[in-house]
Amino acid sequence: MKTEKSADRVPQREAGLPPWVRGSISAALAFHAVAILGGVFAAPPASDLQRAWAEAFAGYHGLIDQGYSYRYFAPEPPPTPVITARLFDAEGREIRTVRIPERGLTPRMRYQRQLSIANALASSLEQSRRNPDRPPPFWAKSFAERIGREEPRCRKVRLALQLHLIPELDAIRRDLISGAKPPELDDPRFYTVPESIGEFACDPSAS
Amino acid sequence: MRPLRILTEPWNAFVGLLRAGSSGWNAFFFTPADPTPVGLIRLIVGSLACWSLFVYGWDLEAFLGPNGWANASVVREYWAERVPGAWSIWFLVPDGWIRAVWAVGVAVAAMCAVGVASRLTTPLTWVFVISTARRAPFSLYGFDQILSTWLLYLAVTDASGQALSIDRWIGRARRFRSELFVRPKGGKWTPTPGIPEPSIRANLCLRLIQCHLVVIYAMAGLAKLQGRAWWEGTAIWGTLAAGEFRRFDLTWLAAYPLLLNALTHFALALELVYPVMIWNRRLRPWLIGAMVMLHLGIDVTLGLTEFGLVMIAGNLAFTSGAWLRSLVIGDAPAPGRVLYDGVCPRCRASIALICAGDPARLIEPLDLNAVEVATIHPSLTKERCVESMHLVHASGRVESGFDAVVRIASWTPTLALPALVRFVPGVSRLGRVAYNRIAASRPREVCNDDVCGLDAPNRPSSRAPR
Repeated sequence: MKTEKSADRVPQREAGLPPWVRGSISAALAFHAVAILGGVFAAPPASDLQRAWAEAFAGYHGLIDQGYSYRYFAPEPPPTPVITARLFDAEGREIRTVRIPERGLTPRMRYQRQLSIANALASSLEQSRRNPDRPPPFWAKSFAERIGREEPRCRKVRLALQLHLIPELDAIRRDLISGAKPPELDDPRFYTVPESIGEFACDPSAS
Repeated sequence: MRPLRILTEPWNAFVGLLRAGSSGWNAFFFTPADPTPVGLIRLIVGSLACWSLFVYGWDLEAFLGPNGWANASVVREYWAERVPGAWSIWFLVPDGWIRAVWAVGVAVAAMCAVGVASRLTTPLTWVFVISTARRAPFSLYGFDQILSTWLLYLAVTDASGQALSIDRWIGRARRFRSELFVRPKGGKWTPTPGIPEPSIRANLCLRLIQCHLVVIYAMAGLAKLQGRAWWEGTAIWGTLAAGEFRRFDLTWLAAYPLLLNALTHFALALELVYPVMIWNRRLRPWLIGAMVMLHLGIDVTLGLTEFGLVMIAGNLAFTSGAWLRSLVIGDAPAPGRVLYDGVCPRCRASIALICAGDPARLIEPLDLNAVEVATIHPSLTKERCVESMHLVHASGRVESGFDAVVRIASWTPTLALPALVRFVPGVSRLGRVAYNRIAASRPREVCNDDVCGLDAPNRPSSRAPR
């Protein structure tokens, strides 16, 4: 494979751009670089200076959809949040349970989007826990109403969060070495106990 | 004088540093570059944007509708607390128009991908992608961040249509058509080569993507250094055994802990080394190859296909335009000769269209009325050549009609993809029938003054002056 090399780059044409245009572009590039780096360094753990740096460019980040920190799978691959929504009718009987993400969705990107929905709710639950007033997680009511509207008999929805854990490498290895069949990744032991997020009306406008 | 020198030398060194920095900055950002990688990045990123918007369409009401996961007022409230300047066209679209506007968005992204009206469709695609991200912030993952970033650079530098675009193809076809508006004297016409001209805008686009890409990998690598599992060499297990992501059951790899250690250390080392070593030309191909492998691995284990593709698209910013072209046309392409009927306006228009898609001049168009066809290939006769277009390979092989057209298309970067249609069962058979019918019914004007007219551009009914 040949990569970018001198053959692609003809000698610099000094007359290509007027100095004031080049200066303006350079200033814009420098501003953009500082703004991007501000967003990159602002994610925790970050100093007050780093947070102030990102804060100074918040408007610019908002305008062009930047300010990301790009810390993929860091510090370690985390367990995955899974949302379960139990739907109840007017008599309090459970109608069904909805799982987010819903398995078997195709194309795969639809499943990824649902994983993000579960992540968003888990993050808002975490933020709510950190707040001394313990407000309900930001997305919870809205998501619950959405799930409830799919089922006409639904009167209330109970949302709960579980974490789908990553099995211990050593435990699986021991099973493999001893010839025992290792447990499935969906085995119930790899899920945390459901943590209640709250109970919500299915469709407030209907009540 | 010594004390004075103590003061002046640091100052001179500082001024020298500034001058060298300024010169390096100008060379880095303002040296024209081949726009071919930009065109390829646009093709991939535009296709991914189109695909992403299309997939949103599956559950459009759920993501963008008033009764979806979150209505517009909830989302506005979310942004008001976080990013006050967050904007989205979806906040302005009435509920009844969501499906129609979404369809426009998909169409615009498709146009961006193939390079139709790139100056307009690339920024518009970015607007649609950002707007959708802002309207459904709970549905985003790493893919959306990178997609939006590459689209921003493609849009703001206005270089995305300079190569591998329908815009460029149409522009060249129009120019060639006007050159062939009247039959050239003696039937001799040589199309100008079409290798995209290096431009500063293309360079700016590539440099922005390159710099942003190294920041992404650097941060992804540095942040992992906080994690114990990355030091212990077990972090890759965390991705292989993530039950919600898995595409295949790879838990059997637990029996090979040293392999898992090696994969973990390799992934981390690659992210840490890439931002520094990618600027070295000798190491660059190896690093890009390793990164492609890493993203394919992420796809296999976690099913993040779109994320992998958009990151690979970013890596293309480090590739050479000449190398990318050689993937389609080969390192030392042997030209073929195309015998076309110069007294047939439709044939001249076709040859203009074909040559427009042939920037590397793989074919040499020859008017069969102006040459002795037997000198091109002993098996050819003028009567045979009049019946259909003939392609004579450098090897001496001869193809004609539909097969010749498709072969030429497969050689040219712009048409190589559509030419794959020949592998669909039945297409070649139908194509031959259609070609022969059109060829048999085509108008021919036998001239004796070398000025047979072509339908004038923009004046379909007019004739060229005789």
